[in-house]
Amino acid sequence: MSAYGPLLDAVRGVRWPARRAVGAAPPGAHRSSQKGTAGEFTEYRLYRQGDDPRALDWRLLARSDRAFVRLSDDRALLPTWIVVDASASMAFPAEGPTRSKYTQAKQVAVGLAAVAHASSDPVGVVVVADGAVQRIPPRTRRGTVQEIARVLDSITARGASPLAPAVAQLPIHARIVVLTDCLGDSESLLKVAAAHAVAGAMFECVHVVAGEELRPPTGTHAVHDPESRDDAARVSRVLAADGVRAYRERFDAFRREMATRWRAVGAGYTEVVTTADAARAVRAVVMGVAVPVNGVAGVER
Amino acid sequence: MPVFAMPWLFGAAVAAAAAVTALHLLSVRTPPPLAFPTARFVTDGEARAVARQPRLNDIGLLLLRVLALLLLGAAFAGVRWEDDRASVLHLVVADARWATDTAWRDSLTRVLSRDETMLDVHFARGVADDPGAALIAATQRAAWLTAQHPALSRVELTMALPPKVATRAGYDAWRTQWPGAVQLLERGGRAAHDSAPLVPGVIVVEGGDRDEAVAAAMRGVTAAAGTRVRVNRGTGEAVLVDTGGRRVGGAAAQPLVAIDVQWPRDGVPRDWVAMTVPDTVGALAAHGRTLIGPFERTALPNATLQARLDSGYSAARPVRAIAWWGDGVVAATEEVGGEGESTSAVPCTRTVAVRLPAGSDLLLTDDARGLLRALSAPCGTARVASRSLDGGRAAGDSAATPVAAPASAFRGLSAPRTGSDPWWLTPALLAAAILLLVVEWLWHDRAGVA
Repeated sequence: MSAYGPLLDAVRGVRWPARRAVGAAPPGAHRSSQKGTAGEFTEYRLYRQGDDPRALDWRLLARSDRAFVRLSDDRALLPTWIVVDASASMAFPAEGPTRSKYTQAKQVAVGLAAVAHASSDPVGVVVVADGAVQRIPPRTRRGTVQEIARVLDSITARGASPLAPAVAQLPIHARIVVLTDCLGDSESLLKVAAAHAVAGAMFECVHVVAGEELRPPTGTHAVHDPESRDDAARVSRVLAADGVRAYRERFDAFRREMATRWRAVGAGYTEVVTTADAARAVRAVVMGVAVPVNGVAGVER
Repeated sequence: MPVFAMPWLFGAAVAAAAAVTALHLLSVRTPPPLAFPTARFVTDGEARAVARQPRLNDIGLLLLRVLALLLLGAAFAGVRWEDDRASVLHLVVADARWATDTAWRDSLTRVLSRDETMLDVHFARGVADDPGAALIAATQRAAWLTAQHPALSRVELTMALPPKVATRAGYDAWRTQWPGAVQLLERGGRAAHDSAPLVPGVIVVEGGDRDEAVAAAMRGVTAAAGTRVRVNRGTGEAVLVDTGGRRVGGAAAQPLVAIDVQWPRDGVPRDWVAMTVPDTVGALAAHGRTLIGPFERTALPNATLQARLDSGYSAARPVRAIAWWGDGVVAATEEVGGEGESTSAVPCTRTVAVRLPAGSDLLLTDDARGLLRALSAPCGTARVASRSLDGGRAAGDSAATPVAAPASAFRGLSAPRTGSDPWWLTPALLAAAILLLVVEWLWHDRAGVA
């Protein structure tokens, strides 16, 4: 946890409210779509047969001879699932001055887990790596964040595994945060996200982008997709200086398309660059604002 | 300086090395691979990109390969180590009978030796008779030497000749074959033979019967036992004189050079013996001419004359054969210092034992006329001064400075030497080349594994 100490300190006190009212759930910190009799008054409503007589406002009944019941918004818990993509593409860059996408994803995941845990929300994690899915169900007990950190640290990003099947198994009454580079099964994932969003889940997509992907290395390289299983296609493309511009244009278009499509399905979309500070990235995700990082694209909301 | 017996083979090796170097420059290099997750956004292209700027890669391998190729080429091309100073060949051709004169040869070597020049003294037969033999021998020798020594670039020719030679016909015929100037070196210590009187030309016959030259010649020669032929020193004209020295026909008496031609129509000359049964031979050869006809041989040299002929020509035995029958038997001799008139500076006696057939069309041919004139001419009349050969220079030759013939004119006339010099050079080069190839293979194999 020592690696995450500065990050946890930086996100202490940050609150992560739900973007909309939470459905029926145990009492918690988030505004619930359910109306109850909590101490915080919201509105009056005429008494209807079947209402709990204890909700009657007897003083108002005495003054106006009309029966009203006091209504108040419920506060509910919001289980949070943090889905981390640990495919081989997330290991990029494997070496260099900047951290890899998976490392950045781990940092953001731990930061978000800490923020959610601080709000007494149960936090769980799902890590998809090399065909295996490792999950920790949402918990509120102490040590959950540390356990999540240990699980994330124990996994090495490799292989190619689809996220959609793992996400499809998650409950719909939850907040699902997917940290991915959107280079895998993004189409399937978008469909699952749309279905979950319609069902009531709150989806967040944290698009992790490496700085080296935004600014490719100089020189000529035979680039290949690390998740490609076709050996012939591994060295089928050359990235040279004269092709960088076209590459960046296509990559920018892809990122814009991802942002548009994720938001179109009712999900939140945040782009996090590996060169960005993890704590600021967590705040950006939580607050839902765009925060430029290091003058680069940084975090986009 | 290394030279090659087969330069084209070494040139091929150099070309192969250049090709290897070019391949190293133009080799297709695959860019370094890079795992790039967003490779899908890279425009499709050919992965085996050619380097835009020629740049040597694998310099170590390139050096090994080029060196191995050059060594192989040098080994198979027959490399030799030549002293590059010896670019000029000074070829001296002398008569074979002077080969035993070591003192003269040493003095010649001392005088003609120069720096940066390879001196070669070559002896050939017949040079003293016709310098054309020297030209032929010089051409053959130059071809052989230039094949043996590719570093040679020029060939200078010096012919060592006696003051007078028998004929220059061969020289005139072969002079154009020598592509440079010819230096003449007159050998000292003249032999008695060489000191015969010099007569540029002889008209043998001058008589009343002009219709039949042969008959006139024979009539003149055999008119009487004591008939002599004398030559007008001033005009070069030969006239017949009688035993009293009077001209037979002709006009004013002028200083004459005495000659003595014994050519009896019947009987045998002195020192010859009559054959008991004459035989027939088909040809007579003399002075470069051959006459084929129904000759009848009636005399042969006696034992004494034959012994003198067999012992060779020398000052002590100044007799030699000048005509031969078709089977090699001597038909005529010439003896310097024989009996002659007191007016002769150096008397000479020519004895001809040829019985000419009776009048025949054969004897009217040019060969027959020339043969008869030569046989009946005074001694030494066919000899010409060696100095007169200077007039036979090739076009463009300078009289003061001999122009050396280019060695390239002789290359290809003789088979080149294919072996290396020293002998171990080719095996050593081959071994070095094989070693380099093994190292190259190991290097390449190790690089492939790495």
